[in-house]
Amino acid sequence: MKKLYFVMALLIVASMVLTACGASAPTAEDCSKEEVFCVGLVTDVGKINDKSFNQSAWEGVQKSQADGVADVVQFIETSDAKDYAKNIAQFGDAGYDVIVTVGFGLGEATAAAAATYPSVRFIGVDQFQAETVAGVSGLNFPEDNAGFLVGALAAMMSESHKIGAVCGTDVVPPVWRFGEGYKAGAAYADGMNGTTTEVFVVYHSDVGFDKTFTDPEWGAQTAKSMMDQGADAVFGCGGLTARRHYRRRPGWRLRHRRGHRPVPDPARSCFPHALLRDEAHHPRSCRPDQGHQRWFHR
Amino acid sequence: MQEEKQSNSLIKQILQTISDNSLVPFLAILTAVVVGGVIIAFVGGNPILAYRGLIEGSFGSTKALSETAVWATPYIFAGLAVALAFKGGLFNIGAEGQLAVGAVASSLIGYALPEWLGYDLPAIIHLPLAVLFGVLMGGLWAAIVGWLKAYTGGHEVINTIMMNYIALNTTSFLLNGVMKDRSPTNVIARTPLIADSARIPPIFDGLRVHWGFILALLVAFGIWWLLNKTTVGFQIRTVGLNPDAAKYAGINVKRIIILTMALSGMLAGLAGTIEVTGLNYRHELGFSIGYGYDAIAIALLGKSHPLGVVLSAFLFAAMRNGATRMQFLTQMPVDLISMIQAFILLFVAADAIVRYIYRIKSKGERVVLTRGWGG
Repeated sequence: MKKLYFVMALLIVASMVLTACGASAPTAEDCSKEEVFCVGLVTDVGKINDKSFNQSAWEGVQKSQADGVADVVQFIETSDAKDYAKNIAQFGDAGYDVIVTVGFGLGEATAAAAATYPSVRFIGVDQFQAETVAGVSGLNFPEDNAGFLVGALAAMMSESHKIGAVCGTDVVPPVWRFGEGYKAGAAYADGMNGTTTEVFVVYHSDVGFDKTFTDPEWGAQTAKSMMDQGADAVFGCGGLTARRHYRRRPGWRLRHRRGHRPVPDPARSCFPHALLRDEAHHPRSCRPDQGHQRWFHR
Repeated sequence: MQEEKQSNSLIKQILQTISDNSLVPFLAILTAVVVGGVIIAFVGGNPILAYRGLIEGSFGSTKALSETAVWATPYIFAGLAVALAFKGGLFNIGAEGQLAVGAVASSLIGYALPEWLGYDLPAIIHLPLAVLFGVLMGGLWAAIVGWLKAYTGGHEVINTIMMNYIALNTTSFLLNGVMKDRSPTNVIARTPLIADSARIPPIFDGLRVHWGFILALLVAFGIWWLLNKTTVGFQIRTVGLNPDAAKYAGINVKRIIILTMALSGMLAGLAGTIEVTGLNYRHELGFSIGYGYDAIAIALLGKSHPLGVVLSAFLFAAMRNGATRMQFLTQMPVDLISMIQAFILLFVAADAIVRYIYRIKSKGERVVLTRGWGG
């Protein structure tokens, strides 16, 4: 009997502790009301602090709250691909106005949810639409521009005239655009300065989609072998794979701010185009100096 | 009069066994929940709201219940796989790999068989074929390890881990190569959708819970029956407790070891198969986020008893499923769930802690799960 009393006493204490903590519960705003503007974000299988596209997207959502656009912002991290629909429905059922789904993988689930929740606006980051899906805005970015800038900068900074890039799989179009933009940028700088730069671009295409962006060991190995061949600047474009490069060796590490996801800004994105092609194709005014600083600041 | 008394005492005895066996796990769960709550409060969250979200998200509506059952289905199969191996004195860490093999095999039959034959099959033939092929391949995969154990003494812990690597990388190779969905917009390593005739229908319209869940419960009962009511089950348990005594008693120990591993692999394969035919309708790389490893925890928590496995599978499923709602309400990281699960496991495995906290006297018997490294 004694032990039973002990268990009960412990339970009571525990529940008291829990209620004490619970007293300061914030009153949740009701998103089903029309005047309350709510934005929800569902990550791909990954974390909100991945220093890559999930994080960028969430920072953008948070900014919308800071700017007074959104009243309520929430996120849900997906831990298993079978939960995509369920996680989106969590926001849909709660009457959210905008739901951001981050990543190519959620494309199908987002399109299906757009049909289920016609009054909700969906934003699909990195979701290419073969046919227009009503209610979904797919965000696709000019990654080649960013790659171009990095390539040009690397070629100009390099003393050994050997530069490299370590990327995720080129099956994913944005990654391929980064890599090819990088090559083009280096070639442009060469043409400008009269140098000849050797460019190594390696895509991590030899593994599955589940691993290509989460393989820092491979990234570090590949970067190291590039530096052994004399490269003194290496560009990382591939989520976690590109994250843990070369602390050990001298050499420049070029990374854009958050993995492979540039911030879309029309003023900036026209800059490399203007250099690459005829100015007439891009009649908008370009402000290259502004663009740079954001890209290489870290 | 006499008989009535006897049956009364039998019921009493059964109840006593249940309460004896479930007391420590129950208290372990309770302690883990309290510790988890303290941690939530410590990092600035609201434990009441978090746990409310967890319960709402797992049991709060028909949809939530259905999703919990969806999560529970592979957990029950995989948990039974590990539990059965435990009963036979084997530590099957390879459920993850066997699960992947089963999933690949059944999805292959699911999408490719009609193409090979050139005509559609009726569901009554196609679905069982797909399921059986996945089950057989999972069993075969594990039987290799059983054979190595029986005839070469290679330890099953090492070998199942190694077989996991082989299975998962082979899967990756196949899904990026010959079995990849060739539709032009697809860049993901996944198979094409399986034919309609190879799909397990949902139980209710509009909910995702499918007949595979009912099958899981039936299989759990079947495993209990096998272990406790058949000669083979008796042999498996005897080999698990003491292989030397089993050999002396005339049991073919080698055969039983291979059989136990094969059965265990079949159950794990069934977990993968049912996920393909009942839920995803295809196999995609990275779809199984550690069911095979969670299964070990489920088997331990359920004390390797089929009923215990079903209950702990439900607990894990509810926690995984409710995590979404919890995060939605409190913005606590979903990793918290993994932490609470780890605490539960810690308290179950090191039951001396729980016994000490709640002053429970040990009955002097110890649950032997495996025979350790030397076995």
